Amino acid sequence: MDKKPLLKVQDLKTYFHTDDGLVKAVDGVSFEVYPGETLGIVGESGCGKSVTSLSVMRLLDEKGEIAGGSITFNGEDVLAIPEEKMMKIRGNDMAMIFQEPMTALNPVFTIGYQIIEAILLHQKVSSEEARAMAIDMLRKVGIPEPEKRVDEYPHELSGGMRQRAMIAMSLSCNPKILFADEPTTALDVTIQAQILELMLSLQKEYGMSIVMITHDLGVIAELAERVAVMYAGRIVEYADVVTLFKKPKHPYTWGLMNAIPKIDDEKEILYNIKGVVPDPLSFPEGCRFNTRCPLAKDKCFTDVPPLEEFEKDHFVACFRINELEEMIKSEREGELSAK
Amino acid sequence: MQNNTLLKVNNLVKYFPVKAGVFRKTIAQVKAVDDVSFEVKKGETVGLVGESGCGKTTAGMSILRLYEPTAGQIILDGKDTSYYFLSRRKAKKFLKKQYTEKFEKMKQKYSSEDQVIKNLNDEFNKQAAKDYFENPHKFIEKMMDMRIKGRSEFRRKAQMIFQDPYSSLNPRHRVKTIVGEGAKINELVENKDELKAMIEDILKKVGLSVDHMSRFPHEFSGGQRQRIGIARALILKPELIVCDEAVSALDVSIQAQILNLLNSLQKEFNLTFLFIAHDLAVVKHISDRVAVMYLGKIVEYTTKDQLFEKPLHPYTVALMSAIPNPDPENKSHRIILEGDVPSPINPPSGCPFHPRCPIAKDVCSKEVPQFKEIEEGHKVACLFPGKLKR
Repeated sequence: MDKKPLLKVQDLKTYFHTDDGLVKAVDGVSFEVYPGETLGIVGESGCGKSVTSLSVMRLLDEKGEIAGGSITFNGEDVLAIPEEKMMKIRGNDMAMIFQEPMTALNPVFTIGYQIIEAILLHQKVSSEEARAMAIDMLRKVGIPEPEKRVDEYPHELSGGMRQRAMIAMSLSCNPKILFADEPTTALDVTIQAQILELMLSLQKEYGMSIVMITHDLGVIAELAERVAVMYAGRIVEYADVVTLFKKPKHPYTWGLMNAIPKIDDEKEILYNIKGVVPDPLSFPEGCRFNTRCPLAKDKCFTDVPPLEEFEKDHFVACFRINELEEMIKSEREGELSAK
Repeated sequence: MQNNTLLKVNNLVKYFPVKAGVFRKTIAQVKAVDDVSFEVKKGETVGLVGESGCGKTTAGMSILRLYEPTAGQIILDGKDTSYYFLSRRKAKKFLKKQYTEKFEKMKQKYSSEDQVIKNLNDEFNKQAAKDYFENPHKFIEKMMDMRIKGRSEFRRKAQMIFQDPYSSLNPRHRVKTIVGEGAKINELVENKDELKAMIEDILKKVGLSVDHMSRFPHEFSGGQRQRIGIARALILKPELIVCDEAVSALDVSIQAQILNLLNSLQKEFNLTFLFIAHDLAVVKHISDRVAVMYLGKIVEYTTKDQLFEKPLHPYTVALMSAIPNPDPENKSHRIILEGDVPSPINPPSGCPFHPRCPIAKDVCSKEVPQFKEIEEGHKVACLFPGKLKR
């Protein structure tokens, strides 16, 4: 891709100073987001995917600290922007939607008020105009009778409608980039399908970039163009979506793909990534996947594998890329013999 | 697979009253489960899928009598357990209504006892009618006698694994207490040593180690807690385990571990699962047969293969198309359903799915579709089954 990235994150390190010790939630993460594209960040809970997006928007609480790296958004160094200006960027150029719309919306204000508030803060319009814009926005996200709904409180809306209201709010100022943190996880599948469809059509209309943060590989496959797989605070694999799903090169990515039951694929036993995600207070030395990786040996326990370009635009952080084929083969044989 | 039925649910109904005003008058009913019937064979897994609020959890809880059902018959292992947890007076009333009145009415209608037995459609009630006509008084007496004993037996035979491994384990109890409590109550062991051996054995079976015994739940991860929950259910040597969203709170890699564990345990102990979940892919992976619920009713019930190859109910078709397919080259063609699930307080007239159904016709809003067998072993509640294609 020869376009200039809209967002460039380089070697981002976000640490949390907790009472129990230092948590390196994000430890050296780099990625780019180009205008109009969708980047998926996928990983299990506690892998640092949400913290990454919060860091970019500088929304960390006082315990969190960006300990290193750089974030460039739209040609500006995000980490050097004074807080006042950052407030203008947030909501205007960068927006975010959250997993649980009920907790993200303020229960004591009407949804209209909350959308209008965002518009008035960032745009020079009168409150009547802002209200008209809010109603217009609600209509765009498919809320029926927006003139009536604009004066309703969050509890009066269903989960899907609330998420639509959230999207309306985040898009009301026409952001350049939208961080969607598990936007459909709390929703039912049929409602999830509605919301995903809506996000796709709005992206086409507004041309914004989306960073889709989720644990659901299905959602990633539907929406994203490029994908970063995170594990324990680091990106382990980074490629375009087809390459990643067809030719995963990191043992974690491969394991993840084979651990999910699929509708059109019959399998007696799911692949088992043994063990659990390591404790963030004491991540293992070397490759952080080494406690669960069947290929781990020698170097994996001492050195951190760098995220290197394996093929063009396909980055993998693993010392044992060449041995993965054999692992898959023996896994398949194990499956056959189990049958 | 053996061909005998372990669990049979007949016309299960569970309404929750909505109360308001000073006198707590009932102003409406939430029809959480509305006339649900199905059966589960021994050793098989039946998946119960549906969106949130469709009544799948309520159905599971009613079967286990964590809720007392409003109406319906729950037969476990050839015994009617419906009245076990009612008070003596209510149990008598139930038996009178369920058996005495029903059989006497039928006797009048068909004029002979043999005719009544012939016209009953399921094996259990046929046998019950035979016994009843032999000696009506003794039949009811016998049923009443079984009530208290049946209660503890039912509690042992039917177990549950809960969705949230965080709130379903008592944080003040050690693992050995949590797992061993059921065995102690049911007197499966004679002394402490036996109990300890039994707990150790079961912990190993679910993939935990013996030195986990004296720890508290907070020391475990989500997946391990779910294993404790499974151990707690398993120690009683149950026949039926209701898994209520047992893997949906877990991460993908842990979910796979638990699903594999459930599969292998089922083989080892010949367990029967009623697997309640919203994730169709998971249900497909683990189930032999699947029931799809919508707004308190089962809309489709058949074998897994038939359901996924040839879904007949438009809701099932839409539900399947809505699942994001983890294959970027093969993006699913989605059928987007309009709107939300209607309120179960005021379900739509006719077919409950008609306001969202892409192929609904006028008649759908008037006529309630019968839940009937369209092909062998494939039951659907739709006036136009198979008309919606993906």
